[in-house]
Amino acid sequence: MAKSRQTGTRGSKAAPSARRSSGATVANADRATTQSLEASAPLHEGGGEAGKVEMQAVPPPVVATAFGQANLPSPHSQLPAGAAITGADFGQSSGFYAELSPARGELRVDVDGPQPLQRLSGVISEGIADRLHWVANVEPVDPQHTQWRGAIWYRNGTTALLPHSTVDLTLRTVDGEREAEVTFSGAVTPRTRLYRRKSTYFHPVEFEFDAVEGVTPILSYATHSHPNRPAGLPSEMLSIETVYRRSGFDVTVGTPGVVPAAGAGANSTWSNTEMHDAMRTYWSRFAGIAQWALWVFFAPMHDDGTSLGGIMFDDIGPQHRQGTAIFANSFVSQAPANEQAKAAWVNRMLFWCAIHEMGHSFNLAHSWQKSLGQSWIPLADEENVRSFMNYPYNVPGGQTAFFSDFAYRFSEQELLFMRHAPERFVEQGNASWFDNHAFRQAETSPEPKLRLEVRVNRNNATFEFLEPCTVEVKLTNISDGPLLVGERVLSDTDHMVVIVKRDGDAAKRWQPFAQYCWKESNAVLDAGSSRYDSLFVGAGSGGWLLAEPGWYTIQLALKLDDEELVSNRLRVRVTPPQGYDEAYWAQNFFNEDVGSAMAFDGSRVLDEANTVMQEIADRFPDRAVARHALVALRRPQLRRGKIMSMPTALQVPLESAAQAGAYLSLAKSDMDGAVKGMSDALLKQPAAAAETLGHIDYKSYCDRLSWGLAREGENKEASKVQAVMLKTLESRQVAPKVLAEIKEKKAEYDAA
Amino acid sequence: MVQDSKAEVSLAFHLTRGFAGQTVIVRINGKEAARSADTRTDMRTDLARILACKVAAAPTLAEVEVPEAAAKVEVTIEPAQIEFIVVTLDGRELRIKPVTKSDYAREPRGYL
Repeated sequence: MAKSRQTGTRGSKAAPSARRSSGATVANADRATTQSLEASAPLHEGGGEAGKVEMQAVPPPVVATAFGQANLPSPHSQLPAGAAITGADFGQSSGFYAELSPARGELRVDVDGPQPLQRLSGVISEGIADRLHWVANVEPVDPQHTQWRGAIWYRNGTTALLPHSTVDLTLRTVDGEREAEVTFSGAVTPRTRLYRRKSTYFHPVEFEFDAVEGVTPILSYATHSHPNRPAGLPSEMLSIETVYRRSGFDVTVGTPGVVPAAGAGANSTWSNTEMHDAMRTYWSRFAGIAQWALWVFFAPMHDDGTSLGGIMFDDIGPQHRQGTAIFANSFVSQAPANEQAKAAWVNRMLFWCAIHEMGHSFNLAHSWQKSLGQSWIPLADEENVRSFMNYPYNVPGGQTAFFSDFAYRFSEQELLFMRHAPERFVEQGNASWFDNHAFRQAETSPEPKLRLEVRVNRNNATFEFLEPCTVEVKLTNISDGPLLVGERVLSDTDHMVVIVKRDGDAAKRWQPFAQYCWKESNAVLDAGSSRYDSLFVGAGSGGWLLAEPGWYTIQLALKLDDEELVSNRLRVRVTPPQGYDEAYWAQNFFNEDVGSAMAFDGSRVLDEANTVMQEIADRFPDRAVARHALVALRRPQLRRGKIMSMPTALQVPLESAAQAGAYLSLAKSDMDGAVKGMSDALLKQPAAAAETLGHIDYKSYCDRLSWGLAREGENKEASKVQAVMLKTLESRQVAPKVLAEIKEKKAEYDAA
Repeated sequence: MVQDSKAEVSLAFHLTRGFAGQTVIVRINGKEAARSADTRTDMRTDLARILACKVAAAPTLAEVEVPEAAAKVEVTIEPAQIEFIVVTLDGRELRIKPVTKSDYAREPRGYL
């Protein structure tokens, strides 16, 4: 913590305050473009892939009407039922395109094929973590439909990556491959990007259909087997696979399996937990990660009885929406009493039900729920729409009316979501972009020369409640020879991305309280050698990241000139508060000023933060947080420091501090108070201090205390501090090089 | 078929849309028969909870109350003819809709 805190702040105690006020805009902008807001995704939850969702010109409203009457953005939606789903399952130009190397962008062209939406969407990637997802409506410019043009109306992520407002698409075939040239224009200099088609679909997905022994899965339906159907509906044996292919997915089907009925327990009906357990056991793809894959389970009946026809049961654990079930002995198998084609009716309902439940796994809400909750774009309810996501018996005229003009398709806004929304909103199990995704854009080398590690200086990565979390970052040369690396490679947070994710919550990007401009210089890192630094990740300019009890994952990425490094994932636990007092004081402690004071190792101007830290130190002297508070309170008192004062309220924007009457004054040091407080924090229980502060910061603080003592002529006391530190860090098996430094420093004080 | 007025039949109340943590009280002929605390609609199925109670096979006054919404509705039914009763909450407006066995036979329905 200390190294990151100290740099650039020494001797200027107005810095934290000034940084907070002047940096507010920058900090907010950074936060907005980088934080992930989405937690485990409930149905249709939106948010921000990297935080910010910028809406410009909301697309034409998708009105809830019956099929064939919709005021939909695509002209093809007005075709007769079924007409849009005949022919090939893909288009001549539609599909997924990858940007030509070395760029890493993505493009999805949706202009032909089944149910074309006349949309383009894409992802622009820069650096380790900057991503922008965009969507545009396009219209053909030429009769051949090789040129398209339209406005970008959706941006999600680092919006600075795409300041343009208009997109022009040119499609061509080069050496037998479909290529797309996209020019972004408007407001700023146009930018052209080139893409090549990699798939005629928008996303891949794998389905695995397993069934309880004795239950026959219905995976296809003969569209003319029931007489009640749209006049134009093509006659075909329609499979679940085909429905999703026409929706834009490159479907593969895994090997089907049989699940023993015993999995349901003694009652022979299935609970969500039993199905989740069965999924873990019998789904060949189960991996506890987000992936474009889904387990579809056919069972006799749910615990809730015949009223439940199916359920996307998987809301257990960190990855949701990976398992869905259809119940053969439920109401969906009870044909109406007067039904003439009972078998076809039941097959149709089971087929429809399976696709409906699978739709939930793609994060599709029911048709009448579209406007509820947080959606990726404003959505209109589609209470009467003929979609797989509606209930047939809830529309006027009931299921007879529904199936009389149902074309076995999803609605346009559902297709728009599945094809063009940020994929983490859609992909099964994808709770937030950090889960398996955070650094997938990193250009890591298959044969890296350097290894990046994040760790803590304690046996168990467990932090007490209120304990500020500092991690140690280690960069090791794992090549055969010496390498040149930046001297401040681990301190320069401009090139570093730090993600903190609490289990069950959204991933958050740590933002430093300050950014520094350093003259870059390199130093040799010998083969096998390492560089270390500490990082106070407990709080940043975006707030406290490790404040709540629970499990956290911390991961870093570092961008170097020719390589991007991704660290291990450090798992950290924060224990619950010991009692009411701790929980109560947490409200005062976890605020921006205290975080800032901690980050900068103290402040002479953040009076309220100092009051809180003093209270914390007094009330909880045996807790780790007390040592941090004492250091932050007393370290500034080791020397005099400058304070900038403003005679009047701060004018915003501030053009000149001098013109505003600001003046600098010197705050006195308080050596006695500083020495006592620092000694209490560092020397009374030195092992505990080294553990909670981290070895790097512990040494930094001890050195600072020695320095202050020596300045007052107390060389003997300064040497004692070094002696305690030496013994402490020796016992903690700190690197010999560091111990040698301490011995040398101690000898200097002894000789003085 | 003549139903024995002393016989008991099962009556199910399907608490469906619009619930977000409320308490739902079901009274049969003025007497509390079932109560559901922290009732929440599961958006995956559009169903919050099914409350079942035994009632006499005779004309019955069924009353549903959601105290937090200051809402109460009642309906007189012939339980033997009822498949289930759908209860929805739209803001402060509580609705109950009996689905008769003949309705259900014409149009089976449920949740998914």
